[in-house]
Amino acid sequence: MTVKAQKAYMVSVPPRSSGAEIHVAIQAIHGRQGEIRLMAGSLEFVTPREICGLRALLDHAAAHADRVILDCPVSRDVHAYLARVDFYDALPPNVELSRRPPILQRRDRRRSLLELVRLQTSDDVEHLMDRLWEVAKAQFGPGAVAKACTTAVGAATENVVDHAESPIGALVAAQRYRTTGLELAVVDLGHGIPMTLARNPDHRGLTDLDALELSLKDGVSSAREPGRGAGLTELVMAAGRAGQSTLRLGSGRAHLTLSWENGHYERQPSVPAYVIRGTWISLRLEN
Amino acid sequence: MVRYKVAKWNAFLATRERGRRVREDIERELARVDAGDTLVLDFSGVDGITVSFGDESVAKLVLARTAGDFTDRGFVIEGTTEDVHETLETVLARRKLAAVNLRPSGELEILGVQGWLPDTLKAALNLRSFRASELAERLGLTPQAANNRLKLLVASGAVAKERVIPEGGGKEFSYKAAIPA
Repeated sequence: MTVKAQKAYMVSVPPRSSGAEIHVAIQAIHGRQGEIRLMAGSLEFVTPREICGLRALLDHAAAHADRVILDCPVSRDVHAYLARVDFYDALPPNVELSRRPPILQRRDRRRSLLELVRLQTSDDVEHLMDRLWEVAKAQFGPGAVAKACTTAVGAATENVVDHAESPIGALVAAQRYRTTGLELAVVDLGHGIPMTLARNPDHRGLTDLDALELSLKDGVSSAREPGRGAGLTELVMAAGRAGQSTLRLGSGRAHLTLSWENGHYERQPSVPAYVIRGTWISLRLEN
Repeated sequence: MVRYKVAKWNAFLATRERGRRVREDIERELARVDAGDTLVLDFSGVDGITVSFGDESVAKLVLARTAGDFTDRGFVIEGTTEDVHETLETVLARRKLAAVNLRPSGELEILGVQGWLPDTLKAALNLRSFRASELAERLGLTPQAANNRLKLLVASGAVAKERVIPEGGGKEFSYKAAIPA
């Protein structure tokens, strides 16, 4: 992805976004700009993470430019899928699409799809949990694992409502795939975990990676008040309980992948070459 | 006993802001409960709660009782799913607090910190209405130790306390089990 200082900023999204390009673009777009073009015409495949990430980039660009032009995917399937997951809904007024979203005959997909939603209030978080419960039940049955996953995602998103002050709220989407399982993403452009945690004097001076790892421990919070700091712990516990799963967390200059497979737990920390604005969470619960 | 249906808010409950609003609503309901009577926090129909919600609603309700709020009336938890049960256990234990849960079988259990609380609850339920000295005698404790235990038991909602004026003057409390044995 490139951001060029021409007449308009231009952001090129590759056929299969790794996410890195989106993070770089979000950092590059700041201040006030005339026109921004998001070139997503070559997109071939999107998962919930890319859906949330692209919409975060679009909203961020719209907040910094007079005019944003989104070059929609040429692939009819991808364009229609983005329409189906409500990607094109409630766009900022200064966003123009290169092509109209198709008019769809919608089938009831509530057991396999959670369309893109924006969370800004307690009601939003609870409504998300109600909807996610339908998808989780279809994946795991109406037992404790489905409830734990639903509650844990609620806990992860309520962090955004309670602490992050994200200008775009929290964007959430989920899709249950027949072959691989349930994928879910939560993206915000708020303060991010390292900066939020540093509000607590006990946790200042940490590297972003240390802060990210520490945030997963029960009781670690931006506040010293007892009873706080459980949201991400709940998410990690639910992911572990679900069996075969992968949890990816990114914030600041830190990325952490936690995976559980056949009773084995693996943790892969890394320091990306770019800054991740806010907090990006994706969860895959395999069949 | 007066019943408060937590599910009137939603089947899944999250965020501190929602927890605070629910707690304030419960406190309004508690204020209407007669002294010596009990409020049942009925969680039936609630599928899941987050730790933040549980901390802000139930744990802080118990915490307020340690400071003396509504201690002349009791409260008990009922109708929890496995997930809600586990979360309430966690939020209370993290703050070293306890509450009493009424199982579908009618059996009572302590949620949160355990220690000597189950034995003390059992003794209080047997005595039903008592003074601290009577509980001390029943459990073979010093009056000070009995008072310490009663503080947590009153906070848990299982026992209500009322100030009485003893014959010789001074300050004393009488205690009454606020939940069925």
